Amino acid sequence: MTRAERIAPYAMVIGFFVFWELGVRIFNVQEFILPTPSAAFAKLYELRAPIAMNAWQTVWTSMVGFSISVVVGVFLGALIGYSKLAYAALYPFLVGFNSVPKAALVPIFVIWFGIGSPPAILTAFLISFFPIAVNVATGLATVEPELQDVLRALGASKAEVFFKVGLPRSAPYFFASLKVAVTLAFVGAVISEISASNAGIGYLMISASSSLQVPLVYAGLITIAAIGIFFYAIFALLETRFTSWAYRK
Amino acid sequence: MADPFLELDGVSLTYPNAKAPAIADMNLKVARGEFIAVVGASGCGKSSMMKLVSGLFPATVGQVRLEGRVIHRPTGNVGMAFQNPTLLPWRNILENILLPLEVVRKKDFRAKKAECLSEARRLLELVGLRDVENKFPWQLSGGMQQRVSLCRALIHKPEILLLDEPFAALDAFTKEELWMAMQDLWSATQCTVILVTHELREAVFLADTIYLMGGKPGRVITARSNPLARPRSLEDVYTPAYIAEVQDLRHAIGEVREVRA
Repeated sequence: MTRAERIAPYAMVIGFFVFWELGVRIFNVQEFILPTPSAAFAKLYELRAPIAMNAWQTVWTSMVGFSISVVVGVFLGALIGYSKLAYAALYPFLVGFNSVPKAALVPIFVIWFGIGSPPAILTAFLISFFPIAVNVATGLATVEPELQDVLRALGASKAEVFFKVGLPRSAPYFFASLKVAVTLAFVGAVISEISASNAGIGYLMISASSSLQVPLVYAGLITIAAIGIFFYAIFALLETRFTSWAYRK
Repeated sequence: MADPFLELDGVSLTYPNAKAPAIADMNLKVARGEFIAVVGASGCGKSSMMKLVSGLFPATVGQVRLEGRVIHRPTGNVGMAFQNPTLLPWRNILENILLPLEVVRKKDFRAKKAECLSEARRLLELVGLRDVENKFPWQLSGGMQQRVSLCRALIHKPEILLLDEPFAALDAFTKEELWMAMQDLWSATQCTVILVTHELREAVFLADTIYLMGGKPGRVITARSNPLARPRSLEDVYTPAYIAEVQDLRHAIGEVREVRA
């Protein structure tokens, strides 16, 4: 990686905030329409304790939802990737399910579980399992039939073919989907918190906006973005760690 | 031939959900240690024959027999190589070659790891590869990958080696080098080889007997035993006897195609 490539992401973020700050100041935009990023960061620093508390709520509900996604996603992916019957039966159903806006489901979860963590966990799960399932299924479906023949001609069981070939083959797809899914899980949790919670970044933002503390709303947005980048980076690291063979230098 | 090693006896194969059979009433006898080539146009059932011999598909009608025993499921006694080397990109060359042993030997594999490793190295040397053990497949050229694929097919000492157009995707020079490597492997391992190909020069170079398949459904149309002496060298490819043999084969195929047209 060249020096320019190394500093590019930081330069981009800093440039974005500078552009935003200058735009607001030059055009003299009122604070309740668009506050300056410096005001948002000042608020972030001032209210760091309550923001951290609410961020923790969002992080743990997202992570619980995401963990369920991984288990269910891998299971469904293995099922539709291996069995043509399961594929035929489940695929249209899953696509339909994925097309439903998850925000529309939150009121239903509130009726079932009341407000708080359970709707956030469920929404995080429902929004993030689909990419995992689709990617695992794709990974399994791209195993060369010749390779399966080589192993099956040796008397390998279906399970052996799965563990020796199918699973490693689908690993790059799986890790790529985790990066997408983990950020989606945060989206799901925040969506749920906005309408059905009394904790979490989503709740913090909606209550800040109802009392017109606009810089705090933006402080919340910046917090979510930062958490998203953090978890994306963790899974990107895991990806290069476990599937380096798929990326030739 | 008194007691054939491998025999296809009136075999037909109809795939599940297919209306017409892929192979119909096919008869073939192969002696132990024989190198046969099966040639024919695309879609004449050559690959289906491989599936029968490997036991991946049972014969719908008739019997496939190995030393008198009927094959109807995979026996672990065959090695396979295809046009695509199908090496696992996450394993290095040595680990790729050892893959069949992990399946066939299972527990025994760990105990005899040293023995397996030396066998893998012996095969690598036979096909003329050095210093590749710890490399990954993508670091090797297509021809080298195909050599590794042959090693993998032979590591568990199968009695039958099934080759499905293994040299078809290689350039002309690499292809001829691989013919030599294949001849060396065959004489070193003494295994029975069934080579499916549509390259007539290749069939004449490598095989003892050449079977011409044709038709839909597939069946053996003629069998020709190859008079050329062994071992063969690449210079032989340009001798009149060799060229005549290839020409005869080409005419035989031409006749089959005319009859069909």
